[in-house]
Amino acid sequence: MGQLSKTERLAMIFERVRSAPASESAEEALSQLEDIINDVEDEFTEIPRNPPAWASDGRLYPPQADYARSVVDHPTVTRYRSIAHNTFIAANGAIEIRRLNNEMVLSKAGIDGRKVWT
Amino acid sequence: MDVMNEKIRELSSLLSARFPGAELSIDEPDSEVGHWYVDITLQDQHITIVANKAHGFGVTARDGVAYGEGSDETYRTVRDVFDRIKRLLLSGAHTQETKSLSQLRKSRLVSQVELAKRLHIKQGSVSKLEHRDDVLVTTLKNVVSSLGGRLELRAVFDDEVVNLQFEHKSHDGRVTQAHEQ
Repeated sequence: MGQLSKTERLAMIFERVRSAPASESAEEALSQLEDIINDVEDEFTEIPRNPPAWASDGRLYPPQADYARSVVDHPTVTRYRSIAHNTFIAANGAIEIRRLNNEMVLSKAGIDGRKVWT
Repeated sequence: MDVMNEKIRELSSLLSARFPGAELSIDEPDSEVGHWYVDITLQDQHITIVANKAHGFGVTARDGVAYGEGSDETYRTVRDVFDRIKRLLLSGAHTQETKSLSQLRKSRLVSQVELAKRLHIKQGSVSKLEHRDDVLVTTLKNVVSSLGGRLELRAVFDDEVVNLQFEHKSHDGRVTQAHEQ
């Protein structure tokens, strides 16, 4: 497979997340997101996977467990912070990704058709 | 008190004292081994610091950070990261993703064979170049130009950022400024 730019890979990641079946739980949603990001990066960049690497190596990495934060007043939602985004995953498998200025990047319902905050 | 908590508080105190007009926000993880985030905003500039016990501090100061990217720069101590943030805020500069020549070529989607063709050298020479510790400025300029860019060199101080240019001596001994080439 040929290489793609970071922008192209990111667009593909978000498209695959939107197209993937709805998840039944937070664990499944996080795992699905991880698999999609790793699969796209493995297919379309020559940069080897190295999650412990601290500095940017040009590869995109999924949210890790140690990025997690609880959300005040929403005990069924977990927030995963990254440099410029927050990823919210709900117990029903819904996912939402927002930039730090709260601009929505992606919103996907869980298995029950409900989104993160509904 | 948790070690990381102490370091974050120390860094925040230093930043608040040095830049009283900056907005500082601390994003604390649930887990003791989790990643802390400190967001600093001063006028139009935003800097994100990521910190954890194992790796120290990561710093990113630029627009357009992609989802899932790591930090642009890394530092081990509170003093080192504070000094770097101070320089960034005083100069208004951005961090850049650092790349090796090999990573740069790959990010531009150019093979070694193609780059060799553009530079009129052998593919083996491109490989050797990408593994060298020391490269002539002229060579770097030619590589970047062949990848469709232009080379800019900067000297960064606490109170200013200076674009550098080098004198160039042509084969006939004539001296010109680098930008005239």
